[in-house]
Amino acid sequence: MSVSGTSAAVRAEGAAPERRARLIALIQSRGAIGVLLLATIVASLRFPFFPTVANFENIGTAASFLGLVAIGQTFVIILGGFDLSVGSLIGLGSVLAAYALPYGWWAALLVPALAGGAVGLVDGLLIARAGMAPFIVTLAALLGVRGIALVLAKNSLVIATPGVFGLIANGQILGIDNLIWIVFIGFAIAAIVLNRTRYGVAVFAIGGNEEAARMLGVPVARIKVLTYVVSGTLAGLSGALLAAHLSSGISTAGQGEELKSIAAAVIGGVLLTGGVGTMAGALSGVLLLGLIENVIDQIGNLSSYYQNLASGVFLLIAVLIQTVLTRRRR
Amino acid sequence: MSTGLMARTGHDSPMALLRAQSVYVAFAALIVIDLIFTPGFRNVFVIRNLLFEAAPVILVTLGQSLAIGTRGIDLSVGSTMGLAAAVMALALPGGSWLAVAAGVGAGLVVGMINGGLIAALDINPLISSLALLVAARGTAEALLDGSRVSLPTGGLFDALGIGAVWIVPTVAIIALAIAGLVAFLVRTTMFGRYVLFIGANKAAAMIAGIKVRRTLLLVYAASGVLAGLAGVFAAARLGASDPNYIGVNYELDAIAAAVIGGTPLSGGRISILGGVFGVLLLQVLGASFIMNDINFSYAQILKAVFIVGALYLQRAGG
Repeated sequence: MSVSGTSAAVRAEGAAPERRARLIALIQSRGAIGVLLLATIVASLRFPFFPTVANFENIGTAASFLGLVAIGQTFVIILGGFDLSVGSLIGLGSVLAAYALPYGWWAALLVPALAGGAVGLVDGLLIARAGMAPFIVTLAALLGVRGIALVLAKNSLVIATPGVFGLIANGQILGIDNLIWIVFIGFAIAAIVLNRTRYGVAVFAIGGNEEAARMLGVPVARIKVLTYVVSGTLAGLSGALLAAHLSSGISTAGQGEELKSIAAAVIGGVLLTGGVGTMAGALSGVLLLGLIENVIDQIGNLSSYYQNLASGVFLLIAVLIQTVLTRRRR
Repeated sequence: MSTGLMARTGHDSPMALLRAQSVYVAFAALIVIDLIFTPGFRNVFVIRNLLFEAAPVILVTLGQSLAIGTRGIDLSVGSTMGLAAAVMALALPGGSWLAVAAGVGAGLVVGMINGGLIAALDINPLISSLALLVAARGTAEALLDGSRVSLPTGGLFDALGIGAVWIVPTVAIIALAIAGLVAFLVRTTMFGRYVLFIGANKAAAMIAGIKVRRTLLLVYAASGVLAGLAGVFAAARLGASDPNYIGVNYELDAIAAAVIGGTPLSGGRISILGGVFGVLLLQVLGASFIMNDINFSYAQILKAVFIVGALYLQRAGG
């Protein structure tokens, strides 16, 4: 039996399953983009109100706050963790922005971002250094941060947002809303960081196999802390932008966004088991959730309560498909 | 009354002992502080009201403890409460007993869906219950069109909403009786063994021939039923079914209470008594702040500190 003949036969036999595995991996990572395109086409054909520039801008700006949070959440989930604190940080961020605005627009952005980063730092240290479960640490942060936001402002703080601060959230560049620019540039930078830097490689490595990453010399604790700091910072910033957008700091803002951001990431093919995911997928998840809300909002005879129902069912279907695909891949 | 798979070794250090009993120590300390400093805490009505509020939380904490014991989680319990209350309101024309049954039945349905997804399709419990958290709340709001429906006074709803034996509400007696039943199940039955075994090592449990899927389905179905009953209790106390309000954030309180009470998220260990005291601790904590006229938000911050503290102690305990 010739060696070359054997290997050729093996290759021929192995080719089909390998191609299938690669196809499944492709569906997992890029499926959400396809579904988003499909959903956009269907909605455009079905609903005359949908395919207008103004409506697309509505979807984009509404999704931008969730989008920023979803970037951090995606990093954290790929790392193998969770960040439940981000929704409360939006509330805290928006309140702090209102308090800091008198000192300048830069303060109104910087203070919430730093506060979010500080919460992320505490979360990260408890998780990475003290070895506590991310779920419960960030759950405690969810409660505690919301408490702090409510202590700072029982009711919403109305702020005047002329000048730069208001412009950041409500202005346009080249005819496109700034918020949309911010979230798209944010995702682009995040994608580069995730795929082209040593930090990104480390995040994937830790999420894939923490023990192996440690043995290979990856500074696991430092990367983990840094990732929670990034997530917290983005959430605080999202709150600041929300305050600028709504001209008020609202201590109850952002409730449930932590769950929505996890949902968006999962819909976008980021696996909860860690080590797998793309920023493009997460962005598609964010936009899909935004699209569902937008369509249900505008179908006159459907009450907005169906938004939750539809989002929940959609999440379930997405996860079902993910689970089936993952099993096929093995 | 903590039940682990491993037999207690009997030579625990004093520190470890304190750690294991930390929820009871904290509860006792809080009560003593309240008795001394909080005006009106000794009032019978205060204690009765506390127990009224605690009853539904205890119920969802029981289901949560079972789920966490299998190394899972059930985020859907709060929304399930809202859905149960909504279904109950719709079933009112059939009489109060039927309405209550319908509410609990709605909880069972959510629990079965959740359990089915987790057990049969191997979906991560966090995600399946998260999806149901969103979907069940949406269904509850859609069913009642987002508005509050008053419950009839008198009869069954009064018995649940205001009925009490001296300072102990009927609903608290029911909740504690169910807690005793769940503790019995966990400690002495094969079902309890299976739950802990799955939580300790699911792969080994499967190899050992344990009916993992059936056990998981039962656990989440039970959590759904308990959440349904909790929704009925909460609505009866409120005197109305409010789909936007009933059960919101209860899943977080339930998880917090279970963890503070000594049921670790890593699974394989359940403390029912600890969970009950975890609920009471959180309830008394909130009441102490309100009664001392301190912004309730501070209680929320302190709650967070309690959770982290409890978890830190557990971690140190290994």
